[in-house]
Amino acid sequence: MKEQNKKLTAVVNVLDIAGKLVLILIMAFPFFWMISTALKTLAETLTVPPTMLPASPQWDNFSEVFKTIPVWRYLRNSLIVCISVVFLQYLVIVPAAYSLSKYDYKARPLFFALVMLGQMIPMQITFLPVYFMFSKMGLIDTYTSMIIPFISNPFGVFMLRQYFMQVPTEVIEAARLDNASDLKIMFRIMMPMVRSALITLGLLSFITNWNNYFWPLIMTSKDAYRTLPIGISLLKDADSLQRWNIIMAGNLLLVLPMLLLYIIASKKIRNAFVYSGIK
Amino acid sequence: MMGKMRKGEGKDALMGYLLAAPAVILLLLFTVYPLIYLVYRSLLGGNLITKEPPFVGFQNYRILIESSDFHQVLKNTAIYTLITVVFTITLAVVIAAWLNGKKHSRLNEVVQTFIFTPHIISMVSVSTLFLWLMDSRSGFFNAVLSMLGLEPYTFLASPDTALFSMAMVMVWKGLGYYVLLIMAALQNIPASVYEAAEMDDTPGIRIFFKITLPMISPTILFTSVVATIASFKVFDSVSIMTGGGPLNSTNTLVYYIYDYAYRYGKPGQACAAGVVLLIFVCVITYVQFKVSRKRVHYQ
Repeated sequence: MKEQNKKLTAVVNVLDIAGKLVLILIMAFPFFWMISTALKTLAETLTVPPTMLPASPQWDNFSEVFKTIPVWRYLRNSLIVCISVVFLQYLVIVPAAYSLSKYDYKARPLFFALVMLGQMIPMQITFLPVYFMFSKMGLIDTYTSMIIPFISNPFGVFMLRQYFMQVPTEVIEAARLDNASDLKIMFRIMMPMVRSALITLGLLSFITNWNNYFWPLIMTSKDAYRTLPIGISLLKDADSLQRWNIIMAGNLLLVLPMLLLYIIASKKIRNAFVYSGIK
Repeated sequence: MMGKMRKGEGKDALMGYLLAAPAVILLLLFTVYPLIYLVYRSLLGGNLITKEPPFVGFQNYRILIESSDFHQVLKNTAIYTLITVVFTITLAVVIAAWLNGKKHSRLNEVVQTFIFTPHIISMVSVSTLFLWLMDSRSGFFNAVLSMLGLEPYTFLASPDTALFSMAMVMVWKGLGYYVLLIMAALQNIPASVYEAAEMDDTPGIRIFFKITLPMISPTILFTSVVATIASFKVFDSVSIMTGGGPLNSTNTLVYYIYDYAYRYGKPGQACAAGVVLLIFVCVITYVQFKVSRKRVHYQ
């Protein structure tokens, strides 16, 4: 009986490991296929059955991408938008969160309700009116139209407010006795206390904006302002031959920065998303 | 809990308003105003360049209700959501429970890392990548099927399989996120709950159904709601993989709104469809609110 149990445990163990390896394979294989295709010749992408690896890696595929679409311009636009959003949002959400957590005034519950509403309403609902508004103001095809709607980040306000509420009021009172101004208290005392939250928020909004396709698609019509996701998605249409090796090489340019970031800060990124999911 | 700070002092209240002002103004501009305008614009006719579109009442809504295309879109969105949510949450619960075990914790960590990776990748690349994997001529999936001696699957090429194929891509991309959310809930179950069962030598499957599942049921409900809203918003993959086709079989609500505004130039009708989406999101959020309240009670 005991002998049999041991055997059973061993079998379960092997199945357990095998199952987990299959799971890893399912998640990793598409990425492998992307890289492999990106380094193949056009002829190799068309062979049936397909080969797993390119006979010799075609690094030229990447320069072909740069020849087909203005990658540098897209990249520059993406970076301008992402970095602006990350830093401008701090200027907006830190004071708002501080105000909602440590000041008493009549409209505070109303303001908080507004933050909750902002979290609830997706941009897929508000995009048409915002488009009309920007269009009237001549803001279509500008960085502004891709930056401004994201800097009031209601989730950020919500999260920082939670953190600020845990800071004892005595800390602020003491600083006031030292004649510290409200702004000084906010920047010098409150902000350092929530540094890790600020980094988390920055990471989240950088990743989200880097990957964002929907919003820049609506707000841009010219290459001069298109971001990388739009540009890369156009590669598929720009290429009438459907050269999948070139298309995959282009997509790798969009994917690799995120993969690198994930390799560097895997745990931190996962925790950030889990936190934002649970709230 | 709230710091009561010198209430009634005008200067303090003023500072509170000032600090909140930028965020409040932006939220009014990009959330409140658009909602009001969306409803208002849905009552007007005209096209994208009409200077003063005429008031048409509920005509845009009537057109939607009578349009078989719109019915198809609602049906597609509902089916897509149902498939995505059921597959994602079921798999996520099973995998989360599996990875939460004490066995092979190093390997579990690696699985978590891999399973979450697609979540931080742009839907643009994920869609394009699966478009290639599902390609009917030289795609990898059909190559495997033919090597196994099976019939090729139509994936995105047939109206019967396109919506399902798209839903599977979403499941692949989102799964890891929900696994992690559910794992967080599993880790909150106190060890003492399991100890009694372990002493009785209760088999694992029974523990899962009798203890684990009931303990995390509030989280399962909550994540289902989150996944439902996420599925309702689907746009990127439709735009990149199918453009709503073949035969309108993958056209979903947000893509329809986009199409009607920009391709067909009927903003009134698009806004009316936007109001329909707004109502859906409100209903689901109401459910979420109820569920999360229950969750608080539960803990």
